[in-house]
Amino acid sequence: MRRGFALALVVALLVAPSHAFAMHSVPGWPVFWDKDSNGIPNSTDSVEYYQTAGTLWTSSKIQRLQAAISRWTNGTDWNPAYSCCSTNGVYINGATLPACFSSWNSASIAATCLSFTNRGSYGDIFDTDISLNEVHWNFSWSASEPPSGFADAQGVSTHELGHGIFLLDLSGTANCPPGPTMCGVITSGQLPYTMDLRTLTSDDVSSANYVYLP
Amino acid sequence: MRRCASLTRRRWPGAAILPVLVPLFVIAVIAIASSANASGPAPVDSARAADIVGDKLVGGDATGKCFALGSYLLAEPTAVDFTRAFALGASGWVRDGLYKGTAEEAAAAWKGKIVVLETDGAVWITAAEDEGSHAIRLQPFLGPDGVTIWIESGSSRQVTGPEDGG
Repeated sequence: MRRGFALALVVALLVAPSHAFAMHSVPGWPVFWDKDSNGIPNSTDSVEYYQTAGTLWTSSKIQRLQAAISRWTNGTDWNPAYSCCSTNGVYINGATLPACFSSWNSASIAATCLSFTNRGSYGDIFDTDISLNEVHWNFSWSASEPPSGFADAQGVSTHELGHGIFLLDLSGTANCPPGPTMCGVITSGQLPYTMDLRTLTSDDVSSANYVYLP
Repeated sequence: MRRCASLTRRRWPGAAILPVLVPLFVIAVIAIASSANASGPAPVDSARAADIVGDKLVGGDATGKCFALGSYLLAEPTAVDFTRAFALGASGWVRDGLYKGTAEEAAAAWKGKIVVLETDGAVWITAAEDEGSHAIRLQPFLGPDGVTIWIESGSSRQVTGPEDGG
């Protein structure tokens, strides 16, 4: 009978979903935009801006960016919003390197620099800069599928916006692409498939909602 | 001997209800597991950054300090890169930004030491001269000949305030 009990215990442990236990092994460090620095995630803190200063911006580029932002706004607890020309927030500029980087090399297609204050129990985000490496790679700003040799700017922007709330790159054939928006490794032949990154998967949504305090 | 045989045959008082208890126990374990899952979204791999950065890189005595976290969308090394890496023989730079070698050798090539090892093999290293205020993430790529190439995929750097955060 003892053997039976032990067997039942083993079966029970095997049947139980493993991720349910993994939850407790991850300490967690929530993050949110705290623009008024009051330590409370207000609804207005969830608004994020990007800057469109400069002459490189066209209406089609802005439309693609708005579409990328709307994926997160409509799908997760994080609610970035488009607001032109703020001086403090997300901006996307292929010609400028964020403070995190010293130089572009061809190994990087795009980059995000997320700035935050460590508040001890949470991360207080105050700025996110996104750059697409237009020095080494071609980007399509079209709504339709990019041609061969071009990366999809909307898909890549959607991915980079995920870094704006501490989401990390995923790698491996199971993840990239097609796969989660946070797929972080692309082969040269897969560049047009970065269009797949436009659509958030359940992994992206649950990651964002796990990390981000609404 | 007979005593032992006698003991093994003796029924435990609770044995009668075990057929009921065991299924109940199984159901209870599954219910607890399901309820833990329902209490919030399970973290998936891309949610690791907040934990790694918050707990390992800038936690504790760094409260109140500002940091800039960099993340790169990478282009996978090409077949030519892996061929060059294999031809190198010893560890070394394959081309700009790509290093062939072990994790420790790669960390040394970027002038740092490993402080965090992620589940997918990526490592965070701190630049020794910066005493922890600057960390770099290196992503490994395994080639067909067993060669491993490392590429910088992220960084964490202390900044003095919002004005120089980017």
